[in-house]
Amino acid sequence: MNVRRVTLAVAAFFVIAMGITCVSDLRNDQTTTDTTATTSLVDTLNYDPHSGLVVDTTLGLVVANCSGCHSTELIRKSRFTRDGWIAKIRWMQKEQNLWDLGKNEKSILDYLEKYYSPSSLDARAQMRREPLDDIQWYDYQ
Amino acid sequence: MNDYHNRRGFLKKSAITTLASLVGTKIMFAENIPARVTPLPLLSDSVDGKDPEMTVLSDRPMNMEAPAHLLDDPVTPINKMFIRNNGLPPVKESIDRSAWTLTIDGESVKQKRTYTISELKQRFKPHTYQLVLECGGNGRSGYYPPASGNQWSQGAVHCAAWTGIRLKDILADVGLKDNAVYIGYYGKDIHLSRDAKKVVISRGVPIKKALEDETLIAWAVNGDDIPLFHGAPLRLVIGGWPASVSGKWLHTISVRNIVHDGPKMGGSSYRVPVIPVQPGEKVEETEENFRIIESMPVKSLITHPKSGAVLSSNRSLSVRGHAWAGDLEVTEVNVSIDYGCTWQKANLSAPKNRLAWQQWSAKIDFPQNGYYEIWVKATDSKGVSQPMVMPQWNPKGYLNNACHRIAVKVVV
Repeated sequence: MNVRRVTLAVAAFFVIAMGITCVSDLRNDQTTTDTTATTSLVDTLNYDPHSGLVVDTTLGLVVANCSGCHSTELIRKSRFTRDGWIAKIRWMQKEQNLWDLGKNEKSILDYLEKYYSPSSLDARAQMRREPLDDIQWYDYQ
Repeated sequence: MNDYHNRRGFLKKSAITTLASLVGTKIMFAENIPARVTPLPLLSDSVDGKDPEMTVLSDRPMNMEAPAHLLDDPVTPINKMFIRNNGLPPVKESIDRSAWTLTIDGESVKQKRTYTISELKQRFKPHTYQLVLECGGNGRSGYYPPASGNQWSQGAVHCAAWTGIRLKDILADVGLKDNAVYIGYYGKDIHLSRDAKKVVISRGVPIKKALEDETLIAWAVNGDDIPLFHGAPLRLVIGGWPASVSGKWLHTISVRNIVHDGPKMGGSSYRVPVIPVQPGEKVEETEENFRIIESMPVKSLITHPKSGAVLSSNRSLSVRGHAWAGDLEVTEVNVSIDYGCTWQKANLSAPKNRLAWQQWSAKIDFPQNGYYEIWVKATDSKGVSQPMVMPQWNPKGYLNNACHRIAVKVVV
């Protein structure tokens, strides 16, 4: 999905600052596959080449519990609050045969809230349409 | 996922080489493939023949859409048709066209009946219609706060030519009771949990819509057998309504004496709040709070040129695209290059048949060099037109018919 928000450079600066303080186990030169955060933030996070998800000590748990039925793209392209993620889990437990996550649920929610919450998009609430971005200019004949 | 991308999300050189060998040609402008996009040939061998520029939102279940400029044809070619699957398609080898049957049952049929495909072809007159099928969530990515579901841009729509028999002809053959209210389809797709007892999706339409001439039981699209991902070998095809009413891998249609109650009919699925809500507002999922989406709203696309055109020799430009309006017809299309301050009326063709999209075109003269956005806005036969801003927010992010726009730079 889109990465961008040149206009949000100031906000991005704070996000990056937070990202650096939050993410302790940085490893260099991992494959980046997706984020909707800023490009700069992308550079501070590591992405698992198989799942495309942010590398973190909880990643194994997330992959084990959350990719049996669906692609991890569904996680990578979603942004929900903690309550929103809880609602998703409850729905999957009710409708899709997802098992009880037990004591792992808190860790999984911590992970989802940290990396896949809508906060990076909050500025969008200020506008009813964003400026066009990711324009690939080409010579028109 | 894969490791085709470098740390900035662009394709690695090795991935471009692999891609070139798969498609058998040099990949022009590979460095311009947008970040985090995986070109189709690298992704999966299960969607043979799709255009490499299609955007995959999810590969399990398979969901992909077309960038607007791919939809330039008046009749959408199969390789540019979006795919929205809720579950997994039946295994290709399990589909036997000669053994496949369609059963018509339910509380409101006089007797249950089953037909083979060849019986359908022999007994009933075939018809071909160009029909707009648009995902109810097309445009969802434009909503804030973000809504749950595939984050469609604007390409989950197509208008192909479907061939089959009218549902009303087969229902007349079976015989309906007076109390028929709704129809519901059942298909042979596989639930993501692999639980064979679970129905993936079973939706439908009121009996009045089901009995329209254009409602088809189709076996062909654009003159060929329906491909696996689009519902082989039989599909219910209903234009103008959320495409989820057009059931794939169709084996049964139930004629109901109640509003059909299959999976994805209730709760907030393909429904919007009865009362306009504040963006982000929680709405309790009750029958009273939500209504089923019926006709899709008026909408239009700019399919030529592709966004990003740099004009260096001429300050005029021919633009074109399609417009459609659910059950209604489009009566006017306008374009603007000044963010809606002024509008220029476009030429507009009549639809090939009811529920087909219509072609529009306009010649734009730019007053001076610079950056422009071309916006397009359609108006339907009831005088309703598209909003330029995000429309009424709803919890599942349906019905975003905000105006489409492209970027153009004039550097003469």
